[in-house]
Amino acid sequence: MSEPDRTPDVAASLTLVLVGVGALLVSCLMPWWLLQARAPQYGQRVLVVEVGPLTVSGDVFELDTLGHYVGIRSLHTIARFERTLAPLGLAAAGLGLLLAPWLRRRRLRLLAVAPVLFLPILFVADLGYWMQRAMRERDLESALGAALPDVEPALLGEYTVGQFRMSAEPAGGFYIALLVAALGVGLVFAVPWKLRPHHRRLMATMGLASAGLALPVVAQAARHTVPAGGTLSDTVRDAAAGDEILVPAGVYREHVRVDRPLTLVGQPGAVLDGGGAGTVLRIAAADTEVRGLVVRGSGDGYTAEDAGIRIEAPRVRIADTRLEDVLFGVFAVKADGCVVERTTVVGKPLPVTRRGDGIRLWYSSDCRLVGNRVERSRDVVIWYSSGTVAEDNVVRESRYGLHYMYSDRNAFRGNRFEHNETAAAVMYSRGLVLEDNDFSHSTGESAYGLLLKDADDVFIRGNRFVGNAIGLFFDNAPQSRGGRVDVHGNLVGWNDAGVALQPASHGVRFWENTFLQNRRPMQVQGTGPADRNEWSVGGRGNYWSEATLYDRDADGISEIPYRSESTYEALADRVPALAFFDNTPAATALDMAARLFPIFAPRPRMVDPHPLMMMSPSAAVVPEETGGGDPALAAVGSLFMLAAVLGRSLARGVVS
Amino acid sequence: MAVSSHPTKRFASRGRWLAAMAAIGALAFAHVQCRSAARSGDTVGAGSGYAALDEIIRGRSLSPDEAAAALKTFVPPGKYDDFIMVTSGGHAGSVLLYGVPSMRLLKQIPVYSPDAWQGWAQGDSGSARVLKDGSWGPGLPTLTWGDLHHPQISLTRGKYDGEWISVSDKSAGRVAIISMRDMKTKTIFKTPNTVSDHHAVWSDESDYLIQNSFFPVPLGQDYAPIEQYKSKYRGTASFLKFDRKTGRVVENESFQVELPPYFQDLSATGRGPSEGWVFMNSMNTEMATGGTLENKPAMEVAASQREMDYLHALNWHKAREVAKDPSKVRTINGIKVISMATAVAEGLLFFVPESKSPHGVDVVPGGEYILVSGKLDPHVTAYSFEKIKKAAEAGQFEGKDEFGVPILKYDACLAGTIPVGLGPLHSVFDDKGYGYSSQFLDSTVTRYTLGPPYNPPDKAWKVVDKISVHYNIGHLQAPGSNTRTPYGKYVVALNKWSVDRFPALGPLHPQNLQLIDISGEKMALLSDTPTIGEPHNSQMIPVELVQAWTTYPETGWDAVAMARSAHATAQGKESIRREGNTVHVSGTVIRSHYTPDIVRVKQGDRVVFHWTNVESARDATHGFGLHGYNVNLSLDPGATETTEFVATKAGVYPFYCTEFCSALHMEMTGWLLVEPKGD
Repeated sequence: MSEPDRTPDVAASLTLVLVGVGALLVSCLMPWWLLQARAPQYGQRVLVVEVGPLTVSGDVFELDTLGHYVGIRSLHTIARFERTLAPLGLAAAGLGLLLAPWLRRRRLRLLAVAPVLFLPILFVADLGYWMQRAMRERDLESALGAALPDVEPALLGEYTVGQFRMSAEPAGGFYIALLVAALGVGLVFAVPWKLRPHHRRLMATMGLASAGLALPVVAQAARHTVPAGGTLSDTVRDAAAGDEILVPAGVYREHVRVDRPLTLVGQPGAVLDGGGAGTVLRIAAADTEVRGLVVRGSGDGYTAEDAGIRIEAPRVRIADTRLEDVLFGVFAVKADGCVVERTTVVGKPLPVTRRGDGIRLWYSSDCRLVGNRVERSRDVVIWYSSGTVAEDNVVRESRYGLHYMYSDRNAFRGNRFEHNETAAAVMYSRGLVLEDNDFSHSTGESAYGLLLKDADDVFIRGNRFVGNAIGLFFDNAPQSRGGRVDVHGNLVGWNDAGVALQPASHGVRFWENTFLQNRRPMQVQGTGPADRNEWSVGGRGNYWSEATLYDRDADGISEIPYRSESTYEALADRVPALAFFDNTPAATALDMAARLFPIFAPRPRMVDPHPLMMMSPSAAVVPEETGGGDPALAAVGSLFMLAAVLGRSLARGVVS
Repeated sequence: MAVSSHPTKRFASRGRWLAAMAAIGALAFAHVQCRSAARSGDTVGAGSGYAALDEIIRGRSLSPDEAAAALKTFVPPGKYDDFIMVTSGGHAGSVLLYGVPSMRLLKQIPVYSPDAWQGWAQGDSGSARVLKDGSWGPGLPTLTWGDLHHPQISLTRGKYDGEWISVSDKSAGRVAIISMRDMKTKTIFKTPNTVSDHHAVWSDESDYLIQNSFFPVPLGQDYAPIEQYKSKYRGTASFLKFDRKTGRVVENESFQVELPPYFQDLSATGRGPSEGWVFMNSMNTEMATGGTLENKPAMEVAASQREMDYLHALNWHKAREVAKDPSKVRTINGIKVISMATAVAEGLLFFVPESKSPHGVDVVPGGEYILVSGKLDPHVTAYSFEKIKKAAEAGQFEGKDEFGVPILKYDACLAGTIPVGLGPLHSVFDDKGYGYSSQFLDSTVTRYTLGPPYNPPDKAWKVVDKISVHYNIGHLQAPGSNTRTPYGKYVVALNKWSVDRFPALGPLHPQNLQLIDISGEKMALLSDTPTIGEPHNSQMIPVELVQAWTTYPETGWDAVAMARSAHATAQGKESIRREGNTVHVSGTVIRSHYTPDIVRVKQGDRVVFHWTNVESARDATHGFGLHGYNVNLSLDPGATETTEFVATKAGVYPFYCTEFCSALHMEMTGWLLVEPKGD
């Protein structure tokens, strides 16, 4: 298709191309679609979530929190794959625009602008798909999941979810993307540029210029390798900002300070050894990355806070690293946006009172701790650090699996805190989601699965609290007007006390939890009632393994309320030796006797008006149990021993 | 599945004979229980009385524990409590006296703030002078409030002697002295170079009151910009010589030691092996200054950053000798100051690492150990004084702080760590070798064993019991805890916030004192008592050690001067004298009249009343409430008090007795007649 009479307007197409690319960049920073939610209980406030090709922002936390009641998955779990691909698509679209005017064949030009054309279409299609899917895959086991009728989401216009009136509409970014697509169509039909000599010169100049621009980028990405016999410190000193340093296998006995942004990549067998003194690796440059290193042998001085890795700059990433024989593991100070992934910390073989923290975030917001393992350490500390996400971490044989204060809007999912003194202590914070974590086998003087003090808006869902002295402990949580603490769908089993409530805790809501074989399902500490908390929501209470249940109408909910009260327990509170008889027929006998011959009326500690007949499916994971023996024999034996202990106690006047 | 193996269900599914066994067991238990109840009947009267008691317990739906607690805390009419608890009223500026175990409020002693009931700075010249002399001086107003902390009963040979109470003022760097004879404040002393103190402790003979500053300020209390915090700002440890005869601080025999600009918080004096030393803990060794609008982290954020702060160990007996050498001290604002450099050079001051932002530091009754409560660390750390001393002598340092003070090796000073629970704040001691710590976060009190010689080494530093309190326990106190011979029996938890413990009576809530019985194997919570202000610590003294006067020893007593007043007036010697524009009224009060009861002055006159209560009967206090001139005096039996003012406005001003005194109390009145000018 030769078009000798048509001369291309270079200036016009160039303007077109540059405007197109610029607009595309701008649209990336803007929302493409707006989702709004209005509900009477939120008054004037409208919750707005902005969806873009790269991000989801706005009232995501609020909407997720509401969504979890009706079983809608968290927005961040949606379209993860697409969001990873989106930058590539955008880059392809931009590149296509730049390339199109040079292509002589219209078909090729069409191919070049195809990404620009398809971007908005794909976006809308994908959004619609996910909105449908999120509703389709709604968790009907959630609190109000079953109560909500099927939702028909609309990509454009209004629909309702329960009390919420939702509306969806395109936003600025999407319109710009449409405009750019139109420009792309224009380019397809524009006259291609001819490669005249001066164009060649122009191209060469542009090529050189871009090469020149790229040069620093290439130079930045220069790779260094620590030479045999050389030190990492020297290599760091010789490297320029943005360089990558390969650390070959070998033991490097030195203390390293990274003061410019670098990427340190340890090859298998690369060990940085502090020789038992000071802090081994200190990172003072933002955007530094450390991968695949073994860091070991810090000092043991508290005064100097000797650590394996100390981070003092934002956006640092530590991945696939192992820290051994260190006082503190990763010690992050004013390090916003840092990431610690798949990293293992094993502390020094010291008594727990002499150890340092496995990971400490101090004044470092929006960090991510994912897939780490901390052992034989003191705490994982998160203080003054909001917006932290901790997922799939394991903290074992330490002091506080999680030591958390003055930090808001954090999420903990899929973590395992086990065999610590206290699995998690959460205080003075608001806006917390704890999902699918294990808080188990805490032993010690304050052996809590989860201690929650002076906190609001905490959502504890689908976790397992197993084998602790106290499964969950609440003190003045929730504390503020309108503050909420919801405990839903958790397994609380084999603890000495399932739930312990300080009397200042009012308004905690428990439902659909499974209380299994706790020595005491629920106890009130510090004297006082626990009746100001809710033990059922929407007519659904909890499963209590020791409850006497009767379900006449076969709706899975017992008509007999569950009352936590027992003469035996009241007595055991005062005669600790009786704890030996917990859960034995003797204890049951005593309670029965007390009902027949009431010496005093035990006060119910709490009443679950709608106990569940069956435990919820999440509680199906059951740890191995010790063998039972012959129950009849056990009963006779324990009755005799009960008589003996009671006799002795009475003789000493303990009971009277 | 787990459910099928649940013991009670197994029981239910098995044979019926088990039920029979259960019934037999139950009968046996009920029988034994009744017999035991009958046996213990003698404590509550005859058998029928017990039945009546049972009725009351059922009628009020009390649990056995609650019934027992009621019996343990009840003090029958006319009988006295076992202990007097002297507790701080915090920023109410007063001291409160409670009876233990009844927890009845017995008295409030005004200190830093005026109080109309007791006529404290409510027109009385003597108390007004105490407040004025205890203020910061020219350029600043007379202080009429203080944040009263940590009442301390004076000691003789390390035991309560029932003579004096000292209190500190976190708001103004002052100490005040109260006499336990009349429970009145005698002096308020503003410590030079100090603007705030959390705590002041007696030496074992109460010859010195040892006080450390909380907020560091530029040395000499001058101005320096906050940017010069490290170079100019300083803390102080003050050793105030106390004259027990007069109840005053002797400034020229007192001295100070300059300290780094950390917040030197609580302190404890050594005794026995650690005699002559004082231990202070510190926080903010980060030397943070805040600056939230200047892009610096908030104070509480920056001040809890470092892993360790420093326990200060100061050899003050040695410092006292150094202070006698004029070449080694500098006098600043009238007090001798030993500089930090001199303190280091003379080997007076050592630091021991302590877990960051600690709270309480407490010395065990015999002085062998220093216990630091970690607050952010779930342990109480026990340091051995012997080890500290050895480490200091052997030079086992892990470095020096920025000011050159040697830091002893942590491990070299450690005696033990006690896993008491989350948020330990303070420790107190009983007579059985136990310590008790308060846990703010756990809301618990933990009982633990002390090390040798209190317990054998294998039983040392072990937690033996724990009890939950209502909420946020701060201080706790046990009788005689800080003396050589603690008395045991009770612990009082001083809880911050009462939240829902008492009926809601507006948004400001009282604090909550919870009484705990520690006499048994397990601690038992007995009662809740609301209290005003914020209770910043207390002490408990056996009631028989309090030898307070019932009336003043002589008629015409000046309570502030603690001597007979020059203005004491005997009955029959009453007078009204005019000296120029001043009218002196020397009068007496007795049931139920004022002499004189008509006082005539002219507008513009200065009027000076000297009233003497000539009664010597217990409790025969009279008031002098004067309309319009903001005066109310409390004229305790034997007291002479003075009030003076200018009669600025003409008119008729009745005065009357504000304490109900007799059948003719309503008739106990008089007239102040202010005639208009020019008449």
